[in-house]
Amino acid sequence: MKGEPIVILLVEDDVAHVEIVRRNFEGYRLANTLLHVPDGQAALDYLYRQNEYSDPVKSPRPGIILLDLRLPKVDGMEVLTRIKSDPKLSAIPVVILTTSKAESDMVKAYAAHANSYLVKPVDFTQFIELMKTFGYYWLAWNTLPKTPED
Amino acid sequence: LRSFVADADQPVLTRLLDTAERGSCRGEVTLRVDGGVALPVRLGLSPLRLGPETVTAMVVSDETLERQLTAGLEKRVLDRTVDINESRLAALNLLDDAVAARDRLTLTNAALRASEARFRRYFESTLIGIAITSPTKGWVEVNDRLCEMLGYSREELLRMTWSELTDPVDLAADLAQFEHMLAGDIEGYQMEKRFVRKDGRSVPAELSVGCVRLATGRVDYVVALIQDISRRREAEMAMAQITKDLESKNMELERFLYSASHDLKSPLVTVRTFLGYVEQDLAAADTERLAKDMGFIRAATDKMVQLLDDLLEISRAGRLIDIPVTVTFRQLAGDALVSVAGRISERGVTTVVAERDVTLYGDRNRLAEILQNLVDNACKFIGDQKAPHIEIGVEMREAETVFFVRDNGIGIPARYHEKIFDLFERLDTATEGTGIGLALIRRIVEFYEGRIWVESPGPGQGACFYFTLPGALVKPTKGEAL
Repeated sequence: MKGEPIVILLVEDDVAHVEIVRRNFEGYRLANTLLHVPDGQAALDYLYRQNEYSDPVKSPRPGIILLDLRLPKVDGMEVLTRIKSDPKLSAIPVVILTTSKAESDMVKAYAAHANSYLVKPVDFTQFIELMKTFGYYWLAWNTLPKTPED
Repeated sequence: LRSFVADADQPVLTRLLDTAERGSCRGEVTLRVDGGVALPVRLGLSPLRLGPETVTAMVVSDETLERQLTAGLEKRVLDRTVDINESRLAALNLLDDAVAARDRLTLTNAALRASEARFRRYFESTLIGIAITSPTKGWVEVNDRLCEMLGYSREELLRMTWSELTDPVDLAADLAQFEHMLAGDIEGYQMEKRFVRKDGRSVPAELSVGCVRLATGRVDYVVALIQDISRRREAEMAMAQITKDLESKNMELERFLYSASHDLKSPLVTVRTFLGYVEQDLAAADTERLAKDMGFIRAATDKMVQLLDDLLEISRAGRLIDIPVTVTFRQLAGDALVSVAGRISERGVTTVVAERDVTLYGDRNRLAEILQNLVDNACKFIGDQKAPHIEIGVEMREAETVFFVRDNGIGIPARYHEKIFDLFERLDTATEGTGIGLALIRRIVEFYEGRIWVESPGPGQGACFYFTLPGALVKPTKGEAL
């Protein structure tokens, strides 16, 4: 395991769910940074450093993106498509984190090159377990290339 | 002479000769000719004066020969008689046949005339276009229905060919079949094709073609039945439209179910997860976090209640309950402004209802709900406008009655102009509401066969919502009380 800090961009409109994810990350000793945007348009603004996210110091390039599907303004599937069709962003792993178990959503997400698809469990223990496993896999064991700063 | 006559006939001869001195007489005797053959002859004797002398002239005739001759003649006469009789019989038969034939011909002529009259009636019937055409595609005979269908007079049509009146798109298929028929591969064919009328309009038609051939097999003429299927096409298109509408309704329903299940599941995840945290808080006696976690649970359950209410509301919007009444647009605007008076005054918004009015017929509460929701939205998104203003009105756009609610608030970026009408879609999660308002309005508008859209020049430049209600527009009729 390596100890380099990873910037996680959480795209989530439900404040309660943001709180759940944040609490789980706070439990880790790893110096990861969790950044949150509330809708699809904000996610795109962040990634393209537009409007309020134009400062590269405050808005560093994320190492991984946690993306909800049902979002205000621009929905998650479109955000995913935009990221994966842009050579400058397509290398960033995108993990879908949604309440939708719909087969059509999974098919569409993988077809749009989602790196993983996680369904939010309707159970406390399972949700905690899921976040823990996510942390181990994507933040600890998974290795990411050092991308040239854009 | 005596030496030639048989002995037995000598007295006959003597008597004949005696008699002959006084006048003509006749008799029959048998002559003995050389070889001893007896030849019965007839004698004709007559006194003949030759100067002072009187002699007897005698004519000898061969009886056998005569008899034979007579017998032959009699037989021939008899035969001839038989022949004549047979001929007469044959002639009678012929006459009978001729009479029968004439009678039959008379009958056949009558039948033919009746049949022709019948066919003429079919031909001139207005049910279907009928034509007789030549192997070179010219119109030879056309009925009135066909003339009417194609918009040309009979005289004009008879100078034209069907190929020049066929839609170029359909011509190749028709010609291919026609050539097959001329070649003898087929006796006829059926197809659907379009004709181009004199006025340029297209007429969809069902074509049934058959041919009549000469003894040589060559096509003599072609009979074509041409059915105008415009009505059927229209019905098919109407059916396709209904199917499309149903499909779109079905898709809307699927989206609705998707949204509903997703949006209801989300707060449930929150409740279950924070219940877990509450247990941890209790175990750790962390009252501070307990209060916070209880807050998340309360917010989530409130949201679920709201969502369920909205779902009920929108399911009711599709089937209007109240009895339709006559109401003017300005009355509806009045109803709406009263119901959102609180929010209007809270935001300090000035409102105006344009002078122009339109009479509507429908569910007054539902119709008012459209304006009420739009005015409510306009107030919510008025922003920090110093002179917030909302205008309600009606205008004509290309013969279409269009209603509008215009504000000078924050405006809506073009990329969200479609999405905002979807169920539970919100552009701004900070603003109260579940995102049902516009979806609800759209359902009411669609109930009245209308459409709704938004126009906004850009952020900060206000927005104007337009909608139509064709199904609620009352056409002014005499005697109707307004």
